[in-house]
Amino acid sequence: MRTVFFESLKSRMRTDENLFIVVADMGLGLIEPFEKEFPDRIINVGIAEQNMAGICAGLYNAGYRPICYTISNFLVERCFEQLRNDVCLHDYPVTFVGTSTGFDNGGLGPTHHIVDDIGCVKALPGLRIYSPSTVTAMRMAYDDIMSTDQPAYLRIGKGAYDLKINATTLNHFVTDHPESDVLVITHGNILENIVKGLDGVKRASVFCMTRIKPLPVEQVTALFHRFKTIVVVEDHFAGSGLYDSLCHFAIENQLVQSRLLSLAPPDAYSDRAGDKNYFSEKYGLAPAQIKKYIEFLPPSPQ
Amino acid sequence: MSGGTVHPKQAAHPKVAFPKVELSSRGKAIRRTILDIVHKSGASHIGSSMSMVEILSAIYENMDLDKIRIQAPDRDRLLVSKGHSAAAVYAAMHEFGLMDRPLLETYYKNDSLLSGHVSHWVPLIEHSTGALGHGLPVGVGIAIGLKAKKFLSSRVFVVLGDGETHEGSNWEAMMYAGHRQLNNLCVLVDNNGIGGVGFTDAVCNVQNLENMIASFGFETFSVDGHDEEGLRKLLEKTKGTTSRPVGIVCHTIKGKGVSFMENDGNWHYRSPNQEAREKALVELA
Repeated sequence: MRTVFFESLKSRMRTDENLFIVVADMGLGLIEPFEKEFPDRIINVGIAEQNMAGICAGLYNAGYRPICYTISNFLVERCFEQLRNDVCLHDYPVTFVGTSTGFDNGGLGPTHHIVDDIGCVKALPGLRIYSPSTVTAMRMAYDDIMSTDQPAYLRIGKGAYDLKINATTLNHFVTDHPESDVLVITHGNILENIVKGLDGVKRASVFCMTRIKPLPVEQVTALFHRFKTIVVVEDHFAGSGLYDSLCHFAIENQLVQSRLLSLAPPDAYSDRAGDKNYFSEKYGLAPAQIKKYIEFLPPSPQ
Repeated sequence: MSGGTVHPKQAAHPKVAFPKVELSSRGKAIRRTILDIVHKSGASHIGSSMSMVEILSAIYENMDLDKIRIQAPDRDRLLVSKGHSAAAVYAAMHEFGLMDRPLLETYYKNDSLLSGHVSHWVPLIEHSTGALGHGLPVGVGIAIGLKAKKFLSSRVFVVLGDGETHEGSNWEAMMYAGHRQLNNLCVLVDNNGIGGVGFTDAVCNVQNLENMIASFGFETFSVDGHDEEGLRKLLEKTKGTTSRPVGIVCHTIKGKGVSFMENDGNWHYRSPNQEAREKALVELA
């Protein structure tokens, strides 16, 4: 997904001379072509995320539209106050592009588990948050970001998972079975496990919430009206992730007649190493576990 | 720390001895305005405002104010990273014709755009500051952006407090500014020696600030921060004549211009009452 993002960015930079890339010593093999083609519009500030975010604010002041890039949690957590004060307070359209999500870096340990980043940044007014599950959704997300003049956080997982679906909207169904009484709403890389697990399971439809903030009000309201059981599956803490956002949404919009459930890692940092599949199994997010969870759900309330 | 006393470390500070320079009439006028708006609103941070009057004057003298008024893309930029000195910034802007009196009079009052920290919602202010350690990275970004846009005669001035240099983000920014040889960046430190709780050097020693900044690749100067004319000439002299970013450690006195506020950390937070205001006005006449 990273490779596709940078390829699409390269095309945009050829036509939009105000785009400017800032990286914090990340992007080996990705940024070198930019340094050749756009030497005046790419900088590597070193391992200095506070400086990176502040520089982006300054570049916007000077007339550029910056995109900054590093590992997701360093990108938004290390320099949270710079995001708050230098970017969001000023409503500067800086695009924060984070690589890796969930347990993409599971073996590297809990400092590299990206399970709380959305919760950190959704507190910030005006910041748009995107967590695409497929290459197609990632492209749509970046189009959406560039169609506005607001700050944005785009978190892109490792791998290049894609589906041949005819999605016309940023937030979209991946599977939509007319007879289903359960809706799985997800974001990010975990979609792959969901699609594998629910292959042939007609009970549940699957919906990708590519844009987590702002939520599309009419679209989400319609989902709550149609499905009386909604399960949010995410490789992010539920208490500050999409589940939390949808709970808030349901209460605010008087949609609490739906049963809203969560499948997510527990609210704790892991003391164990392990790859993505290890953590999926550990937290009930492996394909077979998701299938079992859905199949054993009691009937939806009428 | 008790008011008015000099901490032993401060006494031992190997400060350069500068010949005494009388405050200019402009310096006094800006200070009277600071006193006025801070007193009327009951705001704090008067000591930090009084110490940086000449720094601001010299910078405003040096910038093309017409370009600032029309927000030209190639204008010079001023970022006051020690945003708690907003009273000084707004008073100086008024003095240089960048803020009208009615707006200035709203300082720190309910529903005013003029908060106690510098705000970008105020016309002609580049960037909001308040949390310390933010202005310099933004200034570095602007300096890089101006060079990339080929606005090669535009400069970026960033004013830091000495206490603020405890924030690590400043050193990330200085390291990178030196690395990129951003000679359009000029960092001025209002080195008044006192932070929020005590003498800066007693809290965490930055006595060696000039050398610290120089070690990151800056062309560094140590000057009397109340010598407006000297500062102004230095800013002119360093424009386009160096290949490195410029760092100027301005030795100042917190509360400068009002004897009973000078070098007294209590005036970091204390607001002058009517009696203090009248006594101060006599000294600033």
